[in-house]
Amino acid sequence: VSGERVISLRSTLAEIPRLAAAIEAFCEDHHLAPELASRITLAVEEAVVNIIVHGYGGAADQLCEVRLARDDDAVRITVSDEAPPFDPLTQPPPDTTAPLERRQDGGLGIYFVRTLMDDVRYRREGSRNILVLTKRVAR
Amino acid sequence: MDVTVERHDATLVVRPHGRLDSATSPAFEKQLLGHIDGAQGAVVLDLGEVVYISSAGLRVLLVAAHRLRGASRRLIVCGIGAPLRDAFEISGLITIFEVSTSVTDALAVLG
Repeated sequence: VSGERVISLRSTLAEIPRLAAAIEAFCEDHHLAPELASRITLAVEEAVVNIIVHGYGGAADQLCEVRLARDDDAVRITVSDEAPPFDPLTQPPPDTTAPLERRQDGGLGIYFVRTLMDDVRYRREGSRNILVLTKRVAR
Repeated sequence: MDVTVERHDATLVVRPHGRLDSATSPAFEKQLLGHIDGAQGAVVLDLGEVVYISSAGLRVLLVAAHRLRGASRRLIVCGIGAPLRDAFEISGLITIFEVSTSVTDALAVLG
């Protein structure tokens, strides 16, 4: 199986189950191990949720596109949106070693993206934010 | 996403089912906090029927943990299976929550 899969989403959290199902189907088509598939699903969901919640700030009629591609040695996921310029990689990581009393409730989403993927890059292209996630896969 | 609740003496056992993602976590938060506020004593959160958790689901667990800690009530999390392991380890929550393998073990720990 080769080729790309493109998933066009509206900027609402109600789209998340459809996104997850599409990623799981892609991973199955490409015979990726279940653990790898769940890591990719989690990372992409977190990236998209960040766009919906922070990029678009709750406006539900905006577009977000997820492009999944399998190369020889990696799965590459390109997430793009037309929200104001926002580089999620500038967010400071949470202190995951803090005890419960000093632990913040949120702030894990982008940290998950960075930790679960091998490479994450942001760029602004015209009116679009583009985030490219790469996960290496054994041949 | 459904939540079932059992009582074992003074302990509340809360068991969500399905996915705890950004779409389902707001409803889960409302239900979990409602059950916590409607009871006293310890809470066992059984995640054995949860197939997926994202940062939104973990945030709900942290909100609940902070609320219980503020009331000096214990929280034990159990049933963290393979599908949830990554999220708990990367977030560090596996080390800050009191964790048991099963509800039976959790109830034994609570005495």
